[in-house]
Amino acid sequence: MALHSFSWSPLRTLGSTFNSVSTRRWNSTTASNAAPNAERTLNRGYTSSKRRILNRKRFIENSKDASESRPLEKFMTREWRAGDVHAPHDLSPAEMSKWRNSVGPSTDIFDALKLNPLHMYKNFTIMSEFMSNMGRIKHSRETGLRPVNQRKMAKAIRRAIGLGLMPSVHRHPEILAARAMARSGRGSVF
Amino acid sequence: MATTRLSPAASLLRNSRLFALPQALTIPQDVHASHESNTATAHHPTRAAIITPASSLARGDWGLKRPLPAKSTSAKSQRPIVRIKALDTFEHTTDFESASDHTVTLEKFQDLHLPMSLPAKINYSNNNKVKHVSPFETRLDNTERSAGLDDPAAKKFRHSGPYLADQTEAEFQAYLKTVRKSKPEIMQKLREHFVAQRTADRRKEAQDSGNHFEDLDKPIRYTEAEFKDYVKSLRASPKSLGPVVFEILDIPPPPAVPSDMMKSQYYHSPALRLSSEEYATAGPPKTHPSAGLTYTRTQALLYNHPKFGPQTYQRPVQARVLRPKGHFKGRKGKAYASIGGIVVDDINAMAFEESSHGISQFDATIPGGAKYWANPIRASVNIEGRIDLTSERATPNSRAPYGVQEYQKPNRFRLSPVVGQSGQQHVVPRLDRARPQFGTSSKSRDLGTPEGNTETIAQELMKKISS
Repeated sequence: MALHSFSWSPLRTLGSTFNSVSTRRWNSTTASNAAPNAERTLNRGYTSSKRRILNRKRFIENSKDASESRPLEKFMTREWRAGDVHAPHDLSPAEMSKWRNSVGPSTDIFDALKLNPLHMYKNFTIMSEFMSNMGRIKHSRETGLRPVNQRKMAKAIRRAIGLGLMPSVHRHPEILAARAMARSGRGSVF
Repeated sequence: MATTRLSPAASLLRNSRLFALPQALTIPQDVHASHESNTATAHHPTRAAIITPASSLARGDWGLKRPLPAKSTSAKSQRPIVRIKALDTFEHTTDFESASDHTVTLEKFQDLHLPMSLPAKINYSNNNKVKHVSPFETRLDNTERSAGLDDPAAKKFRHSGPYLADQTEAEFQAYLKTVRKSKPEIMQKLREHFVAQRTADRRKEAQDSGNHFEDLDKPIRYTEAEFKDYVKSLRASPKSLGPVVFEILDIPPPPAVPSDMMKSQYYHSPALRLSSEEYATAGPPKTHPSAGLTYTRTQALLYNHPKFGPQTYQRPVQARVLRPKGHFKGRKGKAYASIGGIVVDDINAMAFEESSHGISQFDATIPGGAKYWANPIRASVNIEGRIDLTSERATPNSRAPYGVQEYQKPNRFRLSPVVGQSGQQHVVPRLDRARPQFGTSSKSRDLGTPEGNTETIAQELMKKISS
């Protein structure tokens, strides 16, 4: 059979579809016509496979570029805002490493709001803002409170824990629950 | 002349440019920012930039207490411009740094040939262009002291009182204290207001009845009891007290709150007399609405191309992609680009079409960083003093007269023979007839034999996986 004459084809994967096509042609046309027809079919298959290889190569190159770029992207630490002005220096590694460090608030929030931290001891949401995940009281470097308010706030936290209003080794369960809800995508309870 | 009567030392000081150096502005701390750099370029300059003529520069003479070193001024830059942080310090040095970050940005901004506009809400969802209103219009360019305020249609951008809506509790209590202290003046102003209202009432009455015109010029006399009744009536209805309070204290109106969110009793603010409606929602501006960036009033500039005639767009400028869209610090965001050193949020970042590389994803392979061509269309200064620049991606039509093109990634693979041949041919290749022969294994110049290619790809893949 003519079918066997091009069984050398590298495109063995196309074999099954190719087989059925050529058999139909074998049935419908004469033997002399069948060979060029089959060759054209072969060429078409060959072209598409070549295109596929080209696309795959391009894809591999692109993904290689992307995987090379991704580790570099994390060095662009600055969060830009519209209206910022930048000079070439602002794009330098020295500047970018400064933007990596977080800074505490510069003003005392209790002074700004005219609140006494000691009166807030029942408000576990406020108290949790000044505690770490593990229940430790944050340093004034992080809270930005002036010494008087920092002492009062620390006392309020200790008071809340002593009264049993707040756990001492983790955040308040209601806050943990709200965070878990937000993380699972079901929205916040608040 | 005042200067002739002054002593030589006093006139020296008066004519001194050094003494004319203005005080440094304070840059408001961004309360919400958790990250910052103390050496980053601020969004507006806070100190005056000074230059010196070439003859003095050669000697390092900047008109200061001591010469500045050449190594960090004239040897470092062709046009050194410095700002002085301290004239003299404990260490007997002059604290200075280069001011070219802001001066060069200003030059680059003026190269865009954009006039300043008053801020306006830009709705990107519809295509309506926001009308350009210049802040230098006589009707709008008023502060609380301007003479132009007598015009009933005049609007102002600045009040003498503070913006209550962004005050903290402590600041508000401090302001209340000053208001209480100035109660006599406020009551005097209220009396004037009362007289003005009485006059208006009398005029209206005269107009209606038509027989009291001779009384109009007489000064209005009122008893203390009448004034007390007026104050009582104001207190009884917040609707009429609100405008009087805002007018007498000269404080900017608060942002409008939907009335269904309010209690039935609230203090109405007076009719808006602000230069821009944006100031009613965002607050009063910190600077003049132009910030002195340009003094051009009109947007009606037309660039005449020497070869192609008048152009709709000016020459497009390159925008550097500072942050591609996509995930950043764990959240999705829009892309940020910068035009002439001014950061703009790329408004087309939400669009589906991807015009150039490096916007959707960071690409380190682009030489010099990702850029695209943009047409800046509008510039204004927002209430913080930041430049609000609006730009569009440059269309192929606006790019064509200047022969600029978007960056194309070099294709590392051979093009198909049709495209390859079309460069040498003088006729467009017919794609529908006489299909090009891609295929026979003897002629394939493109990729070698397919088996070889799949093999190499497989090998590369295996290498990648194993490494």
